[in-house]
Amino acid sequence: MKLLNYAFNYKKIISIDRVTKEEKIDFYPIVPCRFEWAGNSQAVEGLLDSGSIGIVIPMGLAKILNLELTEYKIPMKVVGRIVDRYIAKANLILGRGGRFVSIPDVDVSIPKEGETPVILGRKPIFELYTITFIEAEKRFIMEPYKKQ
Amino acid sequence: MREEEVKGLDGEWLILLDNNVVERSDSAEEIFKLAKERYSDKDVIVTKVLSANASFY
Repeated sequence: MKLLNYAFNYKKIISIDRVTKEEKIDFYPIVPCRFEWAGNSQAVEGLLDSGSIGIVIPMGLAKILNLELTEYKIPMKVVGRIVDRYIAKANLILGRGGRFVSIPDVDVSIPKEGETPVILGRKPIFELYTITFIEAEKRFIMEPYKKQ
Repeated sequence: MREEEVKGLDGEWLILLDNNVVERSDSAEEIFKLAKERYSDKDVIVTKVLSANASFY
């Protein structure tokens, strides 16, 4: 697997409160990526999240990829509550615009309920890359990990 | 690097085509189905309007 260096600006997200209609601007470390499985493919944006152990995707994405879902006996702990989940394998392709890194057979978790965004947690992204968040500049850098 | 931005309701799912929103939904299942059925021949991206106000789940 050949890894590439990446540098991304945080993505500016203007969210509109559903009740007050107030607009709020936040910046998030988002990685352009694609999931593939069994001849199915979908480009998405994944939230880089060091607080998540692994990759999490919504059930809607798992269904169109036709992932082979397996019940997992250990539920996920999210925002103070417990959610049952499936696990599956998928191929993850990082990048866009011709600079792609393919990471085959990654483990993904699929919560049985809720509307999770695509979350790129520590395994395998933070194992493969040294990631520097430059919060003051709203950008981050991903460099292939090299053992010291 | 240019700054990308997206705008929508808290927690809303979006389909982006050339950085323009072409579909919106509150349901991940619906938005991924739309992406597959209507845009499989186009280079679309599915994303979500993240917000500190809205729980991910």
